[in-house]
Amino acid sequence: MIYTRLIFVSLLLFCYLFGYSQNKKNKVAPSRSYRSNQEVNVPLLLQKAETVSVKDPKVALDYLEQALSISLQEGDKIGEANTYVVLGNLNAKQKLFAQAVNFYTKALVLYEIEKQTTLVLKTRKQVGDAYEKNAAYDNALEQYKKGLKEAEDLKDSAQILSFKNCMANIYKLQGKNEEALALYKEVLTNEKKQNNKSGERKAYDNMGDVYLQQNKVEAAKDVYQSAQKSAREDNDQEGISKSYENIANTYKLEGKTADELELRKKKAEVSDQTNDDEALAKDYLEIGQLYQTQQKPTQAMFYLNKSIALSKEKGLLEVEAKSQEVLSDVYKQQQNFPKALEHYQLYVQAKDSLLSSRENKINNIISFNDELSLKQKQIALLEKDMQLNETTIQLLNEEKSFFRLVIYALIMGLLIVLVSSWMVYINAKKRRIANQSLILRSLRSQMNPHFIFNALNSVNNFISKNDERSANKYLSDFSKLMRTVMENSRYEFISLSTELSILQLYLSLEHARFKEKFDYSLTVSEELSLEQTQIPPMLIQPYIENAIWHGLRYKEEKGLLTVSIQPHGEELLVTIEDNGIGRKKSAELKTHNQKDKDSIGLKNTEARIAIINELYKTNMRVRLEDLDRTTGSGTKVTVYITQTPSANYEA
Amino acid sequence: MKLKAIIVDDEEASRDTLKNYLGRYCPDVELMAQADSVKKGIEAIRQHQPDIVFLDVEMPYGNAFDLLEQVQDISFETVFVTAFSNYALKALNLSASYYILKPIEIDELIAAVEKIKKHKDEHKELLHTKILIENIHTDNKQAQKIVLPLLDGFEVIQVKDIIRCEAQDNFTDFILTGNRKVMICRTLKHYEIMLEDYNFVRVHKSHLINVQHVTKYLKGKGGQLIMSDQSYVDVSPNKKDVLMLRFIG
Repeated sequence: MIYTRLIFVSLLLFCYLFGYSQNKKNKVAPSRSYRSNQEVNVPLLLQKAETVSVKDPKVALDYLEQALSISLQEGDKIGEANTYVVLGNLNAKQKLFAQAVNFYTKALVLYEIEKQTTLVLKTRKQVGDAYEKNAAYDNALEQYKKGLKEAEDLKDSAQILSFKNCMANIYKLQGKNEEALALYKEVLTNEKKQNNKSGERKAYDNMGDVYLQQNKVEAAKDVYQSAQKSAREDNDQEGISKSYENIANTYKLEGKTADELELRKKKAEVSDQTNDDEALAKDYLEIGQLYQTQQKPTQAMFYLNKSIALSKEKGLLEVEAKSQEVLSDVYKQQQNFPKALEHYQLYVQAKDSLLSSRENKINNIISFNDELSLKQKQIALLEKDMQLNETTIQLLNEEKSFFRLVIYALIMGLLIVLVSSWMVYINAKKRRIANQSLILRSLRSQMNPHFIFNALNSVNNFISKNDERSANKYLSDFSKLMRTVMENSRYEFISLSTELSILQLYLSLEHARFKEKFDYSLTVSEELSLEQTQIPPMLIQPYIENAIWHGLRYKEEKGLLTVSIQPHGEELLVTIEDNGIGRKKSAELKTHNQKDKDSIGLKNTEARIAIINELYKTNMRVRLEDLDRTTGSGTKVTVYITQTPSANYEA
Repeated sequence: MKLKAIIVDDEEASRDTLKNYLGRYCPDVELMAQADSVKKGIEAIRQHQPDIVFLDVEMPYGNAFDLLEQVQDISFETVFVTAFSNYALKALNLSASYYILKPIEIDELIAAVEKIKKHKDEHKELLHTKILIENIHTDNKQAQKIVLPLLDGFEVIQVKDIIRCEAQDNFTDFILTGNRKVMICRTLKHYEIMLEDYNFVRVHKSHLINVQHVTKYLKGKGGQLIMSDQSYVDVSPNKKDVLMLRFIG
């Protein structure tokens, strides 16, 4: 009873706690509901964002927001980092380098956590680049140095070279010419080794730039020429064009106008061939300026007009303005003031449009940046929200795990209680059974001491009569009875044949004492197998004794005692009948000096039957009734003995 | 002069046994009659005025005490014959009545008869049976009489006169009221059993006290009792609880 109640209470408790933790879980769910309407994945979104980033950055931002929210929800760190990279790219493209640095750095941190080494290097370069473009050279340098170290750890020679190049660029920008040069030379050597022509040319160009910074014009020219040579070998028109430009610039510095002019014309040729209109327009302008310097107005005017026409056509305001200005100067020198004025006005006009277009552009950028930053603020908010969510989730998880711990502890406690109480119960039961077996043992072996002493008295009687044979016979029978009883008293059940021999001996001994008081019969149904039938030893004897001592002994005339054993369904039916004075009269005959002496034998037998029933789950019972209901004389005792199929009941 | 005897026992075999042994081993006894019930026993006693009655304790239709209660003037000594020692023996012991256990041992029978004969020859007034019956009729247990066997005879005192008993090896000193002291040739254990229903408590290995005579209790490990005669009795710590129970209960 108590156990079921315990189990019930514990189940209730468990249900409550479980429900509680479930409830908490549900509370978290709504804030993470982005998920539901998205079949798209992060890489796809990023790809989309990148495609539209130039054309429509705002749409790109939408995609990125989505990508970020998904990555945050799913705890996809790589996806999150990738999103940051694209965001950085977007910002860099809009020349919002500070923002770009921010995003790249976030990505970098995540990549580092996820140990994505190649992505770390790539992003590091991007961070450095953004710093560089934002003129934060020291920061950029720091990033590149880190990158270099990481690349060295990875033994990635291409990356090592790349980072060195980047560092050299910074040194160049900072005017640290020696450092820059040293690195560029190293890069050059490596590029040559790897036969990377374009890299080689880049290195030459960079070196040239540094030399120019150092006013080493000759050295610069040399390296530019090396670049030109390389470009020719490679048939790289762009490279050739660039080298013309660079070398031309050196001539300009040296004041070698003729050489410069020659190169500019060559360059113009290349630009024309490659349909690079802007470059061509600039080339024409340069050529025009050079002719102007050489005091050749006709040629100058020719090229300048060409430049103006082309820039007008292509909307190159800056070039146009400059060309108009120079043209105005040409006319001024020729004293053709009206033409000079005209072109000056055109110059001013172009300049104005240039300025206004710039203003427009700036305005556009500003307004766009406003939107962009708004969007980005949203993203930042989203991020923060997610972070908050994550904190909440973590907190809830902690809480949940705490509750889970409590639940486990409770379950454990409950189990311990159940197991221990069960063990206590089992123990108690075992002890009870042991106790009862013990009681049973003490109960069953008891032969009434009256009987024993009376038997010995009978022997004494024969002795007193000098009747040696009778004494001997009686003593032998008595010994036989006692021996049989003792030998079988340790069994819970004995065969009917053994029990019968006990009863027969007992009856004959009692009869020998009370020959004149009663006759007896002991019958067993032939249906019964004497060996198979099992019966608790000495269970019937007390009832027989009772019949003799309290029923038949008081009877005036000779009585009759019948004991019969027969099967009764699954049970064994033992009937003990006597036609003695009856229970009522027997009780009446006792004086007050005798009253307190109830039959111990019968009480013991009743206790024994009760314990046997409990231990062996049997239903043995005794029915007592008067043989003659009207006079109350005579007694009939019926004992129902359960037949247990298995034979070995040794206690 | 021969001792006149009667046997009262419901079982013929038992009577036979006793008769045979008396005839063979107790020549000083003359068996006057046998009775198989209380009723016939009383009749025989009235008729024969015996010196000794051999009386079976347990009989149908009334036992030995029923018989003795119905005898008007007891002028005989009784030898109780019983199959087993039980509560009846306590009462018999108090009055130091004679009894023999079944199956009868011939030596015991001879000894009982000789004691009675000797007693009668010395013309002593004392009859154990009489005291026994008096005790049975006295409900106040403290007023009942106890027969103390001395080296030269018996002393009869009331239970309430016993202040305490003290063990002296296998003997027992009875400290009685009136500054009297008797040494009895029995163990303290013997009297502890005999007197346990008479408000006596064994408070110590060598002390049996009459609770009725305790005047003071001094606390201590076991404590001490001051008896009505101002004597001090030590109480064993393990007997303290039993003693306290007697006071409270």
